[in-house]
Amino acid sequence: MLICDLRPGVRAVIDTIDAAPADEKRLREHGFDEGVEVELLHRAAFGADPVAVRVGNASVALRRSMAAHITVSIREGAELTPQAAE
Amino acid sequence: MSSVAAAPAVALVGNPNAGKTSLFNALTGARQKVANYPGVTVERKVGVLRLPDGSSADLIDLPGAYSLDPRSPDEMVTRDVLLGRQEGEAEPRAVIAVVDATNLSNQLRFVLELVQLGRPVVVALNMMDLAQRDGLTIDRAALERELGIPVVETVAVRRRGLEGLADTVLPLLGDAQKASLPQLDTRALQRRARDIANAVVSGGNQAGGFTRRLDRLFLHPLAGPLILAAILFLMFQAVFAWASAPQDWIDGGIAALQNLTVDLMPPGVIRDFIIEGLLAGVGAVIIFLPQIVILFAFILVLEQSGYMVRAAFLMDKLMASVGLSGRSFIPLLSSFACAIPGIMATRTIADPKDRMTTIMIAPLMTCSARLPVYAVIIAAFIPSTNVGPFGLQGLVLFGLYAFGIVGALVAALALRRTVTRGTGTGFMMEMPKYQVPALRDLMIGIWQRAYAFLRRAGTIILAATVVLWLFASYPVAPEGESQVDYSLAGRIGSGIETVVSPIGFNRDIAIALVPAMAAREVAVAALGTVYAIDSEDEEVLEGQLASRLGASWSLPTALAFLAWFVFAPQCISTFAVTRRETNSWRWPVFMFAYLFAMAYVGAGLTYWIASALLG
Repeated sequence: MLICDLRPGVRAVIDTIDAAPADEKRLREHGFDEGVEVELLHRAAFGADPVAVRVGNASVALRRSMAAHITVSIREGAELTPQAAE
Repeated sequence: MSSVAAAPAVALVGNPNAGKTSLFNALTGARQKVANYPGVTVERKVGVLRLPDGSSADLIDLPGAYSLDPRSPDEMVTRDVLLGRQEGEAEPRAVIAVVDATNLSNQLRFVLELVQLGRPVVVALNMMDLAQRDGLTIDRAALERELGIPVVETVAVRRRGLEGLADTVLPLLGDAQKASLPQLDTRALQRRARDIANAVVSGGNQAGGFTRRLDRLFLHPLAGPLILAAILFLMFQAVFAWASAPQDWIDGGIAALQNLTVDLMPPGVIRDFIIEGLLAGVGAVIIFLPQIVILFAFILVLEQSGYMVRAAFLMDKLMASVGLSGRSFIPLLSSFACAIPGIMATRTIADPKDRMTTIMIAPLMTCSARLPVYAVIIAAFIPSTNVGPFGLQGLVLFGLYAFGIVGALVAALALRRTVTRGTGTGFMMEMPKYQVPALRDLMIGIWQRAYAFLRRAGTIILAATVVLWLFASYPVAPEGESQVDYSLAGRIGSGIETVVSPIGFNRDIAIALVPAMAAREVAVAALGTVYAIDSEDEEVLEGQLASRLGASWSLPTALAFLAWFVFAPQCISTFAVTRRETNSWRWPVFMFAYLFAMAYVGAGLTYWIASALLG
């Protein structure tokens, strides 16, 4: 699934980054990489675009069109406790 | 172009949110020089780094970057200085790499890239207090071993770890050798950085609970935009409410100086010049210093606390609808203080078309120089009655701001379909952790902006005022004729009047528009001078100017004058900074042409419609 389609608060791991070389480099410089833990934090009010995601220890805001280059899988037992997931 | 004693240069580098500016301020204090690199637009900030042996180094504050592969003009300078390719800058002997201790796994990638350059690098492990807040423990000695370079823990905002940093830099300066090292690609560097971070960091819950909780409020789909609107409202409210007392003091001070001059000097040309030209002209400008200081204080707090990127996030969708991104919101917000720092702040926008569009519309944000013009006209023509709970004068002022913003959005939309057509690179920004801004960083930031404003008031605005006074005072009219009609300024004004009379402007406005090219607020001083010179009594100052205008202008003319100032690029400095930032004549000329066209049509429509409605 795509990173921007995650439910907020669900931990996932990046499977692939499939973007044009310049975009891919930009994503990597912001910490996106295969195997890194991510989590969808926020979606903007109108059209849920842009989104804010946690990448490792950082938060990054990006548009859906860019986030759509990143596929993820949900970690087993990755549901956070309800109050943390909120 | 080496400096006098050729102190060794040390470069300060880091990711945009690593606390680099705080560290620079803490290391150099107020002893900073801000200038520009030749040929490029990026500011060169250099300060003196005191070393433990009593000598010193030039510390160069390089723009924040994520890698040495530049995307914005800012990042290009960072790369060129580090590679020793930047004209006007000595090759740095050593590099201080600032990293955010709470985000080592990603920020170490850039450190590894810097190490590959082969120059001595010291890591400033900054924001150690935030790392502790998040429950993180970092094994500094292990980090030094893994990286093979010295690591110093710092908390820039609390001035912690500064001596340790200077002690570590000193021994590195002697060695001018550059090692040649294997070069890894981004992906390999990323993995290596993560492996190191995993080995040296322990404990902690991810992504700071404090920041997470705040973001749940500030980025909430409903509450977030409302809070942003409230902050902006408070900001503009404060600009007017808080500034009025200090403005009264400045006003009183200028008036006292004028009275003193009347008492001390015999009547004559020099006394007239000091009172009408010097004091009235420069005083009319300095009076805006409180508003500029307050506006910038707000902007600096928003930036340094980490909120500004959240504002950009919230605004992205709206900006996207006119072909821009949330990143453009930050320079545009600065443009409400003054378009010049706003235009300079566009350097962080990577996409050249996004950046050009942002520069082109920045002058449509109502800058503080328009306030005096608006204030005088509104005081003269808009009755201070209430419409519901709101004052009519305030509503008109709000309307003028809104008019400018709508104009900017329409202009951006039109530009993105024509001259800056093409798809942008979108929007991607790291959201820093929230923190309380350090007072010292705020003070230094405000001082740098206030100083730039006062320097402008002392030079270009003073010169324009003096020239206008001369033009309006000479040649001296014979007995019985109007001095203004007879003067050089009056004759030039009559020529311009033929162009602007269709949109309702009279000769006095035409005269004021020319010196107002130096700066918009000069229009007020110019009208003051024109009426003062004609009225023999020399006492027509701000207060009386409003009633004078009320008596001699029609309401449609006054409204057209306001509409003109919403759009007109009456500011030489904006032209100069656009010329510099775009490195072309084409863009500033285009900007002025389209804005003057908008101003002419806007003022014309206002005049014709108001004339028709009011009979």
